Amino acid sequence: MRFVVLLILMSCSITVFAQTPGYMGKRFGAGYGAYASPGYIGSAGATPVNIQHEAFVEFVTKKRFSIGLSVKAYKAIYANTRYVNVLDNNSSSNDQIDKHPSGVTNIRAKNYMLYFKFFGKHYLAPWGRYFIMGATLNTFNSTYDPDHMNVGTESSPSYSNGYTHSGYVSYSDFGPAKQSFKKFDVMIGWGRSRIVADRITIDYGFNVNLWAFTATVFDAPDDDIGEKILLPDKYISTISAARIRGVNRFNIFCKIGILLF
Amino acid sequence: MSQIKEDFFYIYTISYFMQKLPLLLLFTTIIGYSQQNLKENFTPLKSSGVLPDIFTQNIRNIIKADLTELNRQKDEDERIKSNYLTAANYEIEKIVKSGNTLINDEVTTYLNELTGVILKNNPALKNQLHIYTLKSSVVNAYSYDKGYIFIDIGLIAQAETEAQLAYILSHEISHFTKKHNINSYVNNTKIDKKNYTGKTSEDKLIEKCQYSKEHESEADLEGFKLLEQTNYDFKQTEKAFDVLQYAHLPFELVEFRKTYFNNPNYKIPDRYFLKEVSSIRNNSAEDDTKHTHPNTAKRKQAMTELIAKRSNEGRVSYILGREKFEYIRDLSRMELCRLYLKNRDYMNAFYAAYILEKKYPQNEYIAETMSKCMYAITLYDKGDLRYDNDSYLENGILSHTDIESYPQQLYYLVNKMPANEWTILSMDYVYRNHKKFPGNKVINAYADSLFKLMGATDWGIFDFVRTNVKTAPAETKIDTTHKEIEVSTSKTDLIANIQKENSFKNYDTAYYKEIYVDLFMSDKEFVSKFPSGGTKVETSSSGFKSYKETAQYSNKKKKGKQYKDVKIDKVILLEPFYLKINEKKAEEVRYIDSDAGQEKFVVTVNNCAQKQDFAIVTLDPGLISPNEVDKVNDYSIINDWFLEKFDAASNTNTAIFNTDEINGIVKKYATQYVLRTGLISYKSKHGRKATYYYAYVFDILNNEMIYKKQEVFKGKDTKDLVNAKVYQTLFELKRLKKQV
Repeated sequence: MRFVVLLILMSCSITVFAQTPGYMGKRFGAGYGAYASPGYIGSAGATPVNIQHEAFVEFVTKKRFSIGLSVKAYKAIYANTRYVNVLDNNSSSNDQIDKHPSGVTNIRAKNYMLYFKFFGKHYLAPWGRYFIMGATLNTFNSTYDPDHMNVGTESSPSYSNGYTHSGYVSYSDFGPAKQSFKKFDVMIGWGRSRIVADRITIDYGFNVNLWAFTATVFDAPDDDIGEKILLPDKYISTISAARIRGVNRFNIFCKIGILLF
Repeated sequence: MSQIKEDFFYIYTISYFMQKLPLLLLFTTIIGYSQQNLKENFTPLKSSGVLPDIFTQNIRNIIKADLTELNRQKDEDERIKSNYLTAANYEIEKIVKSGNTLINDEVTTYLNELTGVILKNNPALKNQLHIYTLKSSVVNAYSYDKGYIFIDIGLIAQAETEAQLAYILSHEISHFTKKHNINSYVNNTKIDKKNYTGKTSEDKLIEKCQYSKEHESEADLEGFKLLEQTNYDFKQTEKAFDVLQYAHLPFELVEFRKTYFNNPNYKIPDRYFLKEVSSIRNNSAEDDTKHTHPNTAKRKQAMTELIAKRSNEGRVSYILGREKFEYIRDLSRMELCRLYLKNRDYMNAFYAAYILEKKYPQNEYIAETMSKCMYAITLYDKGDLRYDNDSYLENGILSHTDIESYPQQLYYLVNKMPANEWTILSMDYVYRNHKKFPGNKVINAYADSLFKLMGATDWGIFDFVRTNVKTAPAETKIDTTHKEIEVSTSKTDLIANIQKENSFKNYDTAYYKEIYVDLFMSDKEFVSKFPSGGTKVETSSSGFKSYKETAQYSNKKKKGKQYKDVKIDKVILLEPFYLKINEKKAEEVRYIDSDAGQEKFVVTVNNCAQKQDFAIVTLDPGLISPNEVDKVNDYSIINDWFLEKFDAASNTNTAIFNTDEINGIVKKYATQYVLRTGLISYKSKHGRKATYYYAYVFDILNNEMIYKKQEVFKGKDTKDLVNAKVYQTLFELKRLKKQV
């Protein structure tokens, strides 16, 4: 399916080539991009900045307009700082515990994006200042280790091998160890593309995922303060989505590409 | 064996040319110095021969060498002087390569000969000098410390004798030997930098002028000392100051005859002429406080005192010869007509040609110049020439009160005569010149255009007397009309009839009705070309609908926009412009960077063209070899065309009069499109950067701008910006559509 979309886009761009100067006649480019969402304080030994790696193809269809497709891959770790409400399996009286689980949730994600660049007045795609807009699809797999991710009753947790352990495990069922999700969003951004040696593109700027940005209000208190306590079956999906939003909320990027033809 | 053959061929060739050398030299001399026959025609001055070194030298290397030398001298004003040397080198290069500088032409060759006479005893100094003629109507000369001296055509045209010209040259040479240029620059910079408590910018100006005047006086004196070593008449140095004093007047004071335009059937009424012209104002007491040059009368007085102490016996006004001087001067005067035309100074052009016509009545060029002026004034009167704010004609044709002496008559006539009457006169004048020079395509074209101008009105063939049978006396007609008026009774009818009476009176007593009688009777071409015209509008005093109105009407019809393909794939690239300005630096204009930028820019344009199969002919004096003098001339012709074009208001196709040689250019380069493009990179005091890019394409054959792009970008002039914009320009030209 993706291949078909690519083909359609390419054929569309070829039909308009004759009316578009591109950069020195070159209208099709591909390359690599790195995205960073700063402001996230790393936990559990993770880097304090989330890095996304992108591969993209882009084609100029009009004088000041280009279309691109990109795939980003990234990893994130959630330190399970949000509280979960579980039944204490060790309690005969079905006591409920509100605690954050120990351990971490690992997230591996891909972001597919179809984007459009609108270049500023007097600029010429793919060169110059631009406004970017696109539809994104985030697919992500969240995994956790039930041996390490659990809720305990002991008041003095210990720390070893990078994981926090409850002294006494009361609950560890947060659904399947690997869970997959898909989330849509809309991305907008601003950037500038420079070209060196007549062929190499250097593209930099920043972008915002609109839903992720709007949801900041809900996601901001990234712990249990004043927030609804999650149930264990929703825990992974909720914290993963929030983590993905966190990664995509605001990014600065730098891409390097090559103009092929 | 083959080596022997080659050697033999080589020796044979050498010996053959050695034998023919005297003949070749003679041939070259004849070609190089063959005089123009001014009695018949004049060919505009052109550069010839091998171009001087400045065309091939890299300006950046020259500046570098100068700065190294300056550094070696340990001068206390090194920083200021280094700025000067950079700017001066750049400026000199620009002037020499501007296309306005004549190289190895007859006038420049003569000036160099004259310099040889002046510096007969100082060949070393002579070798340091580079003397050129500038195609400028201004009466001035300029000297640079690098030994470059430029003399304006306007000044040569005004000189009365060879000795006067020699003195002017001596004066300029003295500026060079005394290093006045660089010293002035240092002094002015210091004045600008000094913190004068309580002094205004005007005070600073006066101080600068004072210093400049001291230099001028010194150059007067030193110039005289140089002349003293020759056999030139001292008295002519005094006269040279008179020439400068009255430089604002035409090069000769010749009375403008009131009967000049008359023919046996046409006499311009006296009301169009002044009873007497004004006298010449005495400006000898002019205040020179804020002038860079001392009052000319004072300079003359100083010279008179100098001469009084010396014997003038045996001294002469001509060493190279009177005939030669007058020929060179007349060449300059003819060229001056063209320069006036280029500046749209039609009145001065006409008057200069009028003066020359007395000496050369059969000269075709003069007739052509005067025809152009007549036609241009016709268009101007009809509002069909529209100008930019800085045009010479911005404030219209000067009033006669702004003019002195004899030329007043011409200015008075042009301003006083109504546009329609001038058209009739112009038609007559230009057509008769066409009959005189039937082979002249330019005059023929103007005559045809005037026929069309007449056709754009309601005035036609039936409105002029076409036989030599005299019409009934005008008074009779007026009386008849008057009788009709008497019949009217009401007040409003009476007013209407009085107005009608006046209009009929004006019409019927028109002095110009018989102007074409002889042409109608004997010239079939005239009769066939003359517009038949519409029905006479009896209420009109002139019979004319304004040409402007007609033109506007026709414009209104063009409502639906239609486009046609132009698709340009070849252009003449006229010296691309590249300028870098950095307000943070003491030397704001970054000459060296600009020069390097321009060099790269030309390469970029050619690269982009190559990628698109776009043909580019680069006419850039900075990029031509010493033997490509033709390109310098072509560059000059196109530049002249642009000078006139840019003088006109934008978005108009105002007529251009210096177009005679444009056809040759179009044919030679196989394109009628000229691309003017450039870039200005600017950095403000606060570090803000901006880049301005422009590209215009002109159709020089059809006198129109067909492509325009001017854009400003934040940021500096990066390579990708330049590449992208240049490529886009050429890309769009290849797909250009023009509104019909």
